[in-house]
Amino acid sequence: MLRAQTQASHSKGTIPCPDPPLAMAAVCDLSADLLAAQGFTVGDFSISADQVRAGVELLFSASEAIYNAMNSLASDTGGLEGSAEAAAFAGIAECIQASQIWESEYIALHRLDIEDAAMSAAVSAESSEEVDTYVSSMFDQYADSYFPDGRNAPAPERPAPNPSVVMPRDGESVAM
Amino acid sequence: MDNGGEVETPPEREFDQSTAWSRMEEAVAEAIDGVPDFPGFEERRLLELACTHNGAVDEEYTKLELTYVFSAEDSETNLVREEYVELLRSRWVEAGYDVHRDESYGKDPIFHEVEATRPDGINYWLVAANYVSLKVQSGCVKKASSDECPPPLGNVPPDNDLAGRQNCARNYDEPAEETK
Amino acid sequence: MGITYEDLSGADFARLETVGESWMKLYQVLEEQAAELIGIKDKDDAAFGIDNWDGQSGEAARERLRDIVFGIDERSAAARRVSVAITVAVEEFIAAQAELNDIIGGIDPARATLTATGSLIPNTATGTENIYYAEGLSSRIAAVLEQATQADDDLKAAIGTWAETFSESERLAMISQASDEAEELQELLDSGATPEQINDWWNGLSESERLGILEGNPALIASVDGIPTDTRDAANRSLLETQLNRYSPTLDSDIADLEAQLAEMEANGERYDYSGNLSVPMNSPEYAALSAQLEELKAERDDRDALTNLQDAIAGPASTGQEHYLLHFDTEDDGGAIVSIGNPDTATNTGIFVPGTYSALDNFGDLGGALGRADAMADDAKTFGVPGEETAMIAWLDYDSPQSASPLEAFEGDSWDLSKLAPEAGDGKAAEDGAQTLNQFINGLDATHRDGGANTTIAGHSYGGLLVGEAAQDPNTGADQLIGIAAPGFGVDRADELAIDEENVWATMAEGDAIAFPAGESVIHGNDPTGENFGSNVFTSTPSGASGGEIHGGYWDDENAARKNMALIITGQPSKVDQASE
Repeated sequence: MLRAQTQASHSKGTIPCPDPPLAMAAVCDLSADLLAAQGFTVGDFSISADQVRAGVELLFSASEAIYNAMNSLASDTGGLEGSAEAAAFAGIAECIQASQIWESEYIALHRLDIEDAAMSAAVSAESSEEVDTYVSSMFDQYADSYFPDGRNAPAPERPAPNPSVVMPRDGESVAM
Repeated sequence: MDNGGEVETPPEREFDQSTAWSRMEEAVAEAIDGVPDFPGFEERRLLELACTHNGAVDEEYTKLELTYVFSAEDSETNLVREEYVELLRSRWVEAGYDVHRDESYGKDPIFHEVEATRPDGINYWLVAANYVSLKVQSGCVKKASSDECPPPLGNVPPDNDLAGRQNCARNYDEPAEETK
Repeated sequence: MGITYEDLSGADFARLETVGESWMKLYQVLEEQAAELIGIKDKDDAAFGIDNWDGQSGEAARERLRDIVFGIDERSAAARRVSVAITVAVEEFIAAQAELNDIIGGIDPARATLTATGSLIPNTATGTENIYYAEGLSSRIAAVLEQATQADDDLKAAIGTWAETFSESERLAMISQASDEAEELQELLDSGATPEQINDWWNGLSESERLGILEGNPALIASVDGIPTDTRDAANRSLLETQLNRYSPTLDSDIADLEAQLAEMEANGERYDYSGNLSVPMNSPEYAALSAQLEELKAERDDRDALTNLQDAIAGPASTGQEHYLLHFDTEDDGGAIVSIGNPDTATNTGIFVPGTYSALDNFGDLGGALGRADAMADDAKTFGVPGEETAMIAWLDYDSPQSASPLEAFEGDSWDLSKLAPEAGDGKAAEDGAQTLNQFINGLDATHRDGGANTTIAGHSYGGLLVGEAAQDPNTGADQLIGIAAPGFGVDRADELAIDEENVWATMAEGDAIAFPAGESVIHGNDPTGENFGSNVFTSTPSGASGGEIHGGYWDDENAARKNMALIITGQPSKVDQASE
């Protein structure tokens, strides 16, 4: 899972672009735009691209299933069109109209909503991964350049605190 | 009405909700494996129940109850309502499962109920009422995302697969080996 | 223009029937897909759940998906109604056609001749009485054609309404044409008409008049006993949607803004005003006003969330495959709702489950709430039920459920809230009032049942048990059987004081149930219904849990014998109930 908060940035609303070459900057801006277009700031989101992709697939498959069922209704209703029954019975004529309106408007709109949501989610998943890949590559490209000989600074020494020092005493509270 | 007291954590289980359904299906497959002249099931249902501790619903846990039902006609036969009950009871005893309920009652027809719990906590509940049903209960399991959709066993007609229709629009996982 | 002889005699309704089946298939697919889409976001670790997609975009995606699902769910319900309307119309058309054919087949050619347009020419040469003969046949044919025309009008109105093919002017015309009927109904309600009278009146309306009232005045019929279940459901769902749309889309952010404002005032020392008597610090007028505004918005948010939960809970069918029917909802006090699993108007058996203390709209749809328990009972009724018989199971919360059960609840950690010292559950008033409402509801179900009434069982848990006991004291109760599940009493000391025969009075109390003591005491709500001398049929239940409280709430646990016993009672198989030994 990509945790944008930790991998991409530590500051809200920006994607770190450590003085990249121009082309890279364009990619960086694009990703930032894509993310912003989805209505979130980088600092407060995390996304599991694979999971979201799986959801996207389900959305598209739902749209397809609905499409097939609607098609089947439209095809069956087609048998009534131009029939003597449709001419004589106002209710039957209304059924034909219903199928047409549902096919061209109501169901079409539901499918549009579903597929639009799917595409938005896909953009979120893919762009987040793009950012992830990009930021990782930036680490490879730039982080090492700061340490051409590899990181050789010793690990910071922080001995564990002595519990007796941090235990609250005499009503004192210790902020942890 | 006792809302006080500490809420205990349910015992650790080998599995959580993410795999509970398929595990329950495996339990059904195990139960009907090699059953003679198996006529197939007519319906599959999946019910979710609250998991309660100390009188309060534990939001972190859930319970599932999977039900396979024989058709009304098959449920009337001696094979299904008597022989299968005998067979499954002895299988569960042989397997060392805890058969903790075994009763027959009423008349026209006589109802039978047998319950057995496996070591992993999965509970079988075989009910030979007017319909004969095989229920499998998960017990309290930790809630988790479940995108599994095991296909029904025993040739359940698609329209009667209520569990598949309601939980995953019949987008089944790879078919499990069918037990006939 | 009406249906003519030629129209009806030559019509083939097979294609229309196929179209009706196609609508039903569309309904099923929409319903299935709605369920599938809910699964993408309904749990934290679902594909679009918060664990996999956190932050504003994830929140927006889930919100959007929810809207999509409800749109599809609504459309699915509409497709089902269209299908039903077509099926009904096909039946009526075919019946009319068959009757027409009967009339035609019976014509004596020596006495009258049928023309191609359906007119009858009497053969006066063989007798003048043939004029009357032909007139008689003509009026029978006219009646059949009128019947077909009515069915056609009904179909048009139903399709126009449910499939939303009517233009706004057609819709308004339909509403307007039903305005007199809406007024009539209001007058009937004001006059205190019984559910049976209301149902008789409703059945006298044409379909377009009924749909006109539904479209124009859903609030008028939503909670009226005697209005058919399917119509009440449509009215309530429409009102629920309207009510949810009324909440401001910025409600959450408005609350957050106010909270921030108040926090800032507090941080800046602007909260208190010291200018009052004795310099006692009081909230400044501005702070107090903002606080009051905040409380109002929070209450609004609570209502919105509770209604949203209700809408979520009734989306799609129950685990039994039966539809949910929303028969009432309100947000007054703690709120309430009535939801049926399965249609009680067509069911053989109807179980009405009344929940007890602490029930409220915000927990109604939870797994452990009234609907969750009714769902389990519906599943059990299917497991133990009789082939060919359907059981509708209703979660009924249309009373002011007590929100406290023990004086200890008055202790709030460091102080006592004296107003809570007398627990609400100790007072039987809510049960008495609720019992009248429940009986009216049952009478409504009897009136709307298509076969003269179902086998009806009222089952109450805890304080709900007291309520059903109170209801069973009324000789006009429509309930056939009564079940008290861990009931503190039925409001009487003996079963023979109830209006339901003793043999149909049932009660259970698992060993160790926390309520066993108050019930046994028999001082507040009557004698313990499971007591030796009460005279009810006591059935077994399993102590499910380690504490009295857990046992009290454990009657729907998977291993509890109470579930089977309740199912056997509700489905009319009392001889198989496991009765506790004396």
